[in-house]
Amino acid sequence: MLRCREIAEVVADAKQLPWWRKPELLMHLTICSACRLYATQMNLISKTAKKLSTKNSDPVKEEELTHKILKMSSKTFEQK
Amino acid sequence: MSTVTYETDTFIHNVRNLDHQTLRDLVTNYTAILRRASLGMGFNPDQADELVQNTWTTFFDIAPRFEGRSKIKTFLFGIMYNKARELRRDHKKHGHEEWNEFESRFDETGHWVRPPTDPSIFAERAQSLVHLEECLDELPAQQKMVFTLKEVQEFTTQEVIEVMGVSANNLGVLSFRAKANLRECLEKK
Repeated sequence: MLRCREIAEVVADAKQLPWWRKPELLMHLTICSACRLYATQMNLISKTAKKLSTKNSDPVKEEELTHKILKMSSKTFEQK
Repeated sequence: MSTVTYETDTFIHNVRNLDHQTLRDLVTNYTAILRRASLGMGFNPDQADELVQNTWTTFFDIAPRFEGRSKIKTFLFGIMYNKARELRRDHKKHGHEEWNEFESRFDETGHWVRPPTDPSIFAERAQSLVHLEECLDELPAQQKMVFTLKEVQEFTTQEVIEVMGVSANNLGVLSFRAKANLRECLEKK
């Protein structure tokens, strides 16, 4: 039988359950509000994480850096 | 043993021979995402720029030995990951402490002793990019990298394994600990 400790790993998407144990997982989540809450919180973290990528994006700086590296690489290869 | 190749022969040939146009395309396509991932790892903008430059310099040095056994993307991120580790040895020790915190939520039979609390307040914190970043910054370096690649950059499990050179099992543990630790941190915020 699945224990809450194990459910925590499964809902964090860190452990895969074989297909035949999925109903057991769903059943557990139906009756266990603590695991249900844990699962919701884990999903929320993943959702917010996806937005971090946009937050870290700075097109101007990215463009500048790309140009700098292209220049650097042309120099390197002209010497070869 | 057969060798899996992910990229076409022509592409591998071009990379190995430092074909100018191929390298230009790579730089143009990957510099931005490498920079974003560096920022995600907790480096400041100047450090991130430096890290990305070092990554490319190393790449140009070792490209003649590229064998196509990993995708070019994971090859590049692998270099970046190693450079990042050189740049900053991990001083932080929070990991263990917080891990015990997770384990202490269960009794020996695996049932909750301290279930998660405060649904509404937690939701508010977990949706805040600032809070998530602060908590991410407290993670040990490996967990931070796993989380950044898997959850932020949305790499597949196989890609993360190639970048970090860890086993599938180890990756599972790291990725779970990263997320569970983040949750603990957000709950305390």
